[in-house]
Amino acid sequence: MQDSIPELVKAFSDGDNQAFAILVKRYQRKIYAVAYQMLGNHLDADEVVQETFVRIYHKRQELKHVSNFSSFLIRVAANYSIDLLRKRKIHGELSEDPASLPGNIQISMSRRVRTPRELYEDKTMMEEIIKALEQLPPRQKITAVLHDIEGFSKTEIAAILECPEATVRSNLHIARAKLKKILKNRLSKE
Amino acid sequence: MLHRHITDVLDAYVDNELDNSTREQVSRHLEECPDCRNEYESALNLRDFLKAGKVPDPGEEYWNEVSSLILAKTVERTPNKSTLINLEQERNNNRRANYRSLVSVAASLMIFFTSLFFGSAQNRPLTGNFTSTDKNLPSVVVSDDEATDNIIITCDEQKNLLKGIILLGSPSHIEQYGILSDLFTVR
Repeated sequence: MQDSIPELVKAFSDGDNQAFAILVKRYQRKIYAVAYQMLGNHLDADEVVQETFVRIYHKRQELKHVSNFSSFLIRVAANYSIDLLRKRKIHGELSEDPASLPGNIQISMSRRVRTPRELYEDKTMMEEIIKALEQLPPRQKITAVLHDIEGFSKTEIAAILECPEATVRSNLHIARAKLKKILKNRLSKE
Repeated sequence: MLHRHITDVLDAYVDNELDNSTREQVSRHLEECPDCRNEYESALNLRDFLKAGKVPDPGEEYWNEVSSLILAKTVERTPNKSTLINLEQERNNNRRANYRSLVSVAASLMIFFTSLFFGSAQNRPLTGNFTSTDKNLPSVVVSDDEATDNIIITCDEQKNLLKGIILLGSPSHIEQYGILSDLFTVR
């Protein structure tokens, strides 16, 4: 079985489901990380992961014309996350994180979310970041997440969000200024 | 006081995107200006803080489960090519069977009405008692007065006519006629 991403993508767009399964395994963590930072909880991040790959599967014919599969994938995930954020803002919906749910519900959900203490040493810090990010509008939020957390370049983000690079710079600048203000107390402890 | 010409390029400086000469100018300014240096340090702290945050890993079991779910929603729901070919063949067969049935019914009706027409054209007077041997069919008594106005079809004629209609239709139609299927049994 071929291993390089372009070969896997080509095989997948030609109808090779085995290649699709490998691509899912390779990218599911990345999508989950972006979605988790955008939406702030496991349940919504899980929804984004599943929906992103379902959409990619149905768009496999388009992949023949895609030069950067990773950017294409992140674009689908980012757009879906932004849709969820907006929907949540309109309807006031908020998928609760299992940790914040009553004990009996947590038990029924524990099959999906395993939370051994040692895996969550950065939990408090992550929660602070999520809380700060929640105060940004969706476009500024995704720009900050992709650039400052996930390490995408501005050019890549412009391709992912299908906007000019100048817009990315501007959104990033505003997002950072707001985050500095929100996290002022926390950052002064550093 | 923050200096605008520095703060405008501070993001690019933090992200290491400036050319060497601009970078040196900013570095020199940051050494001299405490306000701009504070701003720069605050930007560095934010960058480090954001990078240090780790998304909780839901665990290997979750990753296996979610990839299985994705495959179940996509690959396993899409019929393969051979299944599609079989479905198409089945659809064509059904279409052909329906067409044959329609032709059979049309032919049966045509024969039925033709026999009625020729029966009345003969207009032969029949009188007397016609007793059916089949308990399902009534015995008929026709008087001389009625003879010229009525067409009488004997039990055997009725049976043969119905058998003809049924035989012309496809076997699947026998069930549709219900009571007629009883007559189909030749005693």
